[in-house]
Amino acid sequence: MSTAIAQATPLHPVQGASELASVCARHPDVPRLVVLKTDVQRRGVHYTDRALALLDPERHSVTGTHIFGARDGRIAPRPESLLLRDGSSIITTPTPLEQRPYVVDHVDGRLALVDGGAPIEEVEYWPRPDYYAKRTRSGLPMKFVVSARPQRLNVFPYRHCHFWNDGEGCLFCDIVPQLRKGKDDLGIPARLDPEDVRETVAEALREPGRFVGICITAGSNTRGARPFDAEVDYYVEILRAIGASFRTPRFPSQLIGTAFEPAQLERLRRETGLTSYTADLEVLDERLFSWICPGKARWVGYREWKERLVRAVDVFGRGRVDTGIVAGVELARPHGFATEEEGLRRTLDEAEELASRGVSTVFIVWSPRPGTALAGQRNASLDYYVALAEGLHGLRARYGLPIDFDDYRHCGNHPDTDLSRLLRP
Amino acid sequence: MTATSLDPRIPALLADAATVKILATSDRSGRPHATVAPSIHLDDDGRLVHLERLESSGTQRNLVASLWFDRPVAVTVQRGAEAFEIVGVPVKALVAGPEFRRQYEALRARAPEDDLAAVWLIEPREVTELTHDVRRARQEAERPFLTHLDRLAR
Repeated sequence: MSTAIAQATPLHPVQGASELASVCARHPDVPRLVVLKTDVQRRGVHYTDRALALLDPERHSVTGTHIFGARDGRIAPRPESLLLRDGSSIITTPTPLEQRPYVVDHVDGRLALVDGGAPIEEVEYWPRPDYYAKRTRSGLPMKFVVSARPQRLNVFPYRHCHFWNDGEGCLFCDIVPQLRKGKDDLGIPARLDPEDVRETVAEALREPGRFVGICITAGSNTRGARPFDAEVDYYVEILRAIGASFRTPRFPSQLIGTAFEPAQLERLRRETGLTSYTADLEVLDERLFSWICPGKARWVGYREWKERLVRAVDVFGRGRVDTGIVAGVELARPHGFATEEEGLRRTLDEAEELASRGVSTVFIVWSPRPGTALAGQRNASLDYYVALAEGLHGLRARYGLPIDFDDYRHCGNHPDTDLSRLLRP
Repeated sequence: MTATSLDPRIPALLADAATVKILATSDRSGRPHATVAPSIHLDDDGRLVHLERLESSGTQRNLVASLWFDRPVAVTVQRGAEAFEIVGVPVKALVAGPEFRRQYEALRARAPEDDLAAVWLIEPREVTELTHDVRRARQEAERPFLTHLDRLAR
C-alpha cells in the first residue's frame, strides 16, 4: 500500500488500538459489534496458520466464485468469511500484513479476531451448505454456479462487464481481471447456463432452514435494441430458472443490475418472481460519478440513474428498491472530496433526496484492491464509516423505509442495515 | 455480572413441559416486553437456549439489543408453587450451522407451518428463588418490620 498518496482529512484523527474504543465512545448508539465489523471490513484480515488449520472444507465455506478479488491479489482456498456472535457476517478478504489487518487466530480453543496481539471477539467460519459437495448434470461444481453466504444464495451468472470493453469500468472494480482468473484458474464459465442455475438452486433449497433470500448480480451488458435489453433478457432467463424451484409466484430475491428503463423493470417484475431491485450508483455525487464510473455515466448518466431508481419504486414498491455505494471512494485521490466532513455531508444530502422519494442507500466499505484503477489508495477512517452507517440508518427511520431485502440476513455487507435490527416496524 | 452456576432444581424445572417459562426483555429505551417462551431449555454448557421463531418480533429485537449493549434479560420459570428467576445475558444468536439446523428441523417436525429466526444462547448470571413460601419465610425472618401486625396478633 502506498503511503505517499494524500488522504482526505479525517473526521477525528485517531490511530492504533485505541481507535475502536474511541469510535465506540463517540457513537454510543452504534453497537461495538457493528463498529468492529466495519473496522474489519475496512482493514481486512490475515489468517494465521493455526486459524487455517481449523478450516475444514467439509464443514466450512471456502472461497468459491471469486467474482471480486482479495486485497492480497491471490486466488486460493481460504475461508469465505466470518460470522459474528450476533448472527451477522463480516464480508472481508485476506489482506497483506503490512496493511495492518485484523488477525484471525486460534485462541483458547476458539477462533478469534486479534488486534494488537489481544483477542477481542470470537468469530466462526461460515458453515458450508450441503450442495457445495455436488455437481450439476453438466459436470460443473455447484459451488461455482451459486455461492452461499450464511443465509443467502448468490448467483453471478455473467462475469463480464461491457463497460470495460471501452475502458470505462468503475475505478474501484476488478470484476473483469477476476473473470479472467476465474476462467483460467477455476474453470468457471463466464456465462452460466440457466439449467445449471436451476439445478443448483433446487439442490440448495433442499437444505432445511439455511437460506432466506437469493441475490442475482452480474456485469452490465449494454447490448440490445435498447441499451441493456440483453442484460434484462438474460436476467429473465436466470430468474425464471430460479423460480422453477418455488411453489409461490414470487420469492424473496434481489437483483443488483444496471439502472434499467421502466419498461425493462416492468418486464422483470411481470415475467419473473423478482421481489426487489438494486442499481448501484456507487458514489453519490455527479462529478465523482463521472470520474469513478465512466461507463455508467456515459450510458445512463447520474441524474437519469437516480430517476430510474425512483421509477423502480413504482414497480417494486417502497422498501424494495435501493442503491449501493462503495463508501470511501468519494474521498479517493485526486478528484475526491478533500475532507471526510464534506464527503459525509454531501453523501447524506444525496441519500436523503433519494430516501424522500422511496429509495434507500446502503454502503459497503471500499476495499482498495490490486487490479483496480484505485489500487494503492486508502479507504476512509473508521469514524467516517460509523457516522455514515448512523446517517443512512437514520434516513430510513425518518422516511419509514424498510430494508428487509438487504439486511443482515439477506446481505450482511452493510453496517448501516445491521442497525435496522432494532427498528420497530 | 459473571456467569453463575444454576440451582440443581432448575434443570428439572426447565425440562418439564408443565413448567411455565416467561422471557422478559427490554428495548434500548427501557420499554419492557414479556412473552411466554416454552422453548427455553438448557444446553450442555449450562446456557439457556431460546428458540425465537419470528425475526420481526419484539423479543428478537430486544435480544439483539441485549447482546449488542450487554443488557440483561430475565427468565422466570414456575411449576406449581416452585419458581425461580434467572437473570442472564444473551451471548450468541445462531442463524446457520449444525445446531441451528437441528433445532429448525425439530421445530418444523412439531409445527410444520413454523419458522425459526434464531437460536439464542443466554448465559445465566444470577439466580433468585421466587417460590412464594420460601420468600415469605425469608422476609419474616430477615425483615420483621414488613409484616402486618394482625398476622402476629393472638
